[in-house]
Amino acid sequence: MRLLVGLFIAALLVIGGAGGFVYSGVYDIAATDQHTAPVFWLLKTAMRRGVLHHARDIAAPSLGDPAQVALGRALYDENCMRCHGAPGVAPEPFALGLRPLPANLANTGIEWPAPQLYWTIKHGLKLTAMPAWEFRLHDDELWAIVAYVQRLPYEPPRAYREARLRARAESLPRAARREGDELPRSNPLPSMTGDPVRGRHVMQQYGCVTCHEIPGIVGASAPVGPPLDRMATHSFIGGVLENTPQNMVRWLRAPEQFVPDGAMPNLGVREQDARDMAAYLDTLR
Amino acid sequence: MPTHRERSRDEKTVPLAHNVVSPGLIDTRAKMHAVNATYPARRNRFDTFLSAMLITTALSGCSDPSLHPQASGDATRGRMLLQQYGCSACHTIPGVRAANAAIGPSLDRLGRRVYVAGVLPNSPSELARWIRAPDVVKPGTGMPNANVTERDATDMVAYLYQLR
Repeated sequence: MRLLVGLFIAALLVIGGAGGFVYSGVYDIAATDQHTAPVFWLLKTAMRRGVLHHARDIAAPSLGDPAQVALGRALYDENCMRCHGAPGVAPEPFALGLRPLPANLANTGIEWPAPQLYWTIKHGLKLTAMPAWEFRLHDDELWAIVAYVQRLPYEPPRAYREARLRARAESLPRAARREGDELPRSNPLPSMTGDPVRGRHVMQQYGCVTCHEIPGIVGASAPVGPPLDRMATHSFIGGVLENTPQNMVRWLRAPEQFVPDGAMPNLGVREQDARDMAAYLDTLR
Repeated sequence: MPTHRERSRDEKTVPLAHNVVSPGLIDTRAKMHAVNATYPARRNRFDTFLSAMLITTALSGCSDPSLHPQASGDATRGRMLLQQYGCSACHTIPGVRAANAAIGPSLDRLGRRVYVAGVLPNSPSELARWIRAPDVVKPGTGMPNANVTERDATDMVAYLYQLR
């Protein structure tokens, strides 16, 4: 009996403590930073389990017909690219401000089977910015996007760029549009050296974590690009540039100048942000 | 480390795979992949199975058996060759003795990497192409052309694809 009473009081304390924590509002809900590691794990696991469970009875039609993939690529470019980016193409700046960051689908297309991809596109995901497309696109269009997402990891980044240029010949290339993105001239750079603590924070903001494994950053475990552990001791950046903090800044701001057909996109990184990220990477030894 | 659930599922799939793959492929995952390639219609079943494994291993903290293709070739010989061609002088390569350099990127989990050198979609044939002619694939790269023969490249890829 005393044990039961003890358990009851303990349960009340836990519930009251959790309720008090929620009600106090101290948990950081800002999208400027990632969740703490345990919360991130909990949400990600719940998402993955939920998608597996809900898509369990879906049977995929035959996928991968070239016309279907082409339709999927066009729909992807129109509807998905702004948030998820594409091989060698960065997401729109606003999308990099989302938490969770929209996944780089080059890895998703390998890891997730078609029924789960279809379910996710169709129904969207609560607590993420992933919308439900069910009432926006036809069913065969949803499957076409699935077919393209499964194809995407196996296409050279150049292929997307060329297809996109053909389809959007009239619009300005992304790099040109970002030319005016500099900080205003009247607002001189705060400092010419980098701040590694701010740099670590900024790496979340530019979506680096959607492609790279980066020590010290929650959720950075994607195998799309190379892992950045011990980056400071690497001889080369992108395999082509001598690894110095100055070159890192140049690379982060315009990787396409050094590797023209690479998967790493120009993310519109500002000078000071690049300096700070370079300073953080310089601490990884 | 495989969980109990994974192992019991593994055993169930093996008899099915026996009919369609050469006896040289002893890895169950390789068998499953061969089955996938041979019978696309069965894909869904395997997808379900793979995704179950995926989430099980994700939860247990192990690496995912992803849907990446498997490489043919002699992985044991490949591991030895990664020493012989001096790859370990620049790269960290798990399982290769003294390969802990960080001149080029770490090759840890290379079997799951989406892109090779940031320009090629990762597949056994593309990875072998990169190893044999990095200067052609990516002009200006710091990775030297080590005159790797086709067979040697295939074997190295077989080993690297085991890193997941």
